Amino acid sequence: MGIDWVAITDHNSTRNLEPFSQAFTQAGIALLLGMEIQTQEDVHLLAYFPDFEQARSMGKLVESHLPVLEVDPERNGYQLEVDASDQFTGMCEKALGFSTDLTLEQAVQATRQRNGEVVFAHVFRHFGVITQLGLLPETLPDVPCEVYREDQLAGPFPWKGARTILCSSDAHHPDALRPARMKVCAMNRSFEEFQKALRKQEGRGIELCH
Amino acid sequence: MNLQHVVEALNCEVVCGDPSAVDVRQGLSCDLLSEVMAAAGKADLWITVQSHSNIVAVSVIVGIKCILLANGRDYNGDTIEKAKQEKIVLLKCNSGAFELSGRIYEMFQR
Repeated sequence: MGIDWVAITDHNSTRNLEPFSQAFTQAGIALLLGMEIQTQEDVHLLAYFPDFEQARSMGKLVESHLPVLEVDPERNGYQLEVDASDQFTGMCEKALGFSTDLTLEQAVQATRQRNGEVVFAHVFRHFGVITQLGLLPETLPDVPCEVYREDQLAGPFPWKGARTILCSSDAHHPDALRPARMKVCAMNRSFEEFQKALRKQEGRGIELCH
Repeated sequence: MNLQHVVEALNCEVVCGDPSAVDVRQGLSCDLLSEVMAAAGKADLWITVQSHSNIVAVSVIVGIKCILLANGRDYNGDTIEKAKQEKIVLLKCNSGAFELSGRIYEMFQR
């Protein structure tokens, strides 16, 4: 399929990033360490981290802001922790599927304090920032936006030029991966290069595939 | 109906603005802001649990004059500051949106 660089952004969790990183490295695929945070406003915010330590730290913070609820795995799904050979090693009993009580601004700030990058996920769909909050918040003028389909950008969006736009698969399982729909123009497949591409620095950038 | 009547009848806390200077005629209960943008119609009083500062931006666009935050939730500083600038009245109340909507609806019918 020609994809050699992927991000994993589990919902409110960074628990499985290390084993996936090991397995991907063996397959020659570079991994961006991420998480999809569901904020108090029910907005999905993608967060990417420079290393495991920062990702773990943010994962812990996010989990500490989840509601204390009993999760029934038979009804809500099993939240398994796995190792690199796909054996399960544990089970998370936190309510990972629910909203945290972190505001959007708090989640952005906490990610940036950990030297991470943020992106508004699928802005026009359910849990997207535009669906939830009507318009892009003035409080966060520089957060890139991810769209599900590029044609959603048709129309008079005044923010189109100012913000970095990403177009990703949002694949929830391997079969849903499709040919890449964006190119990250970078010198190598590292977080630092991804960061420069998001910020359009030093000639790096994101190109949407047509 | 003068907004001050609503404040007194429901025992709301006034967070900013002057309710006695505002008249309201129609309400709206919704927490999805894109839906408020699309469906606010002539509503000038909005009951919600959403406290992000975008509630003020959306109110300005659709002509809502007063936001009533339900369930004992709090506004953050950004939201209050913006509401003062835009002259939107912010109220809060411990009751849930269902009860508030019902009581205010009844007041509008009288």
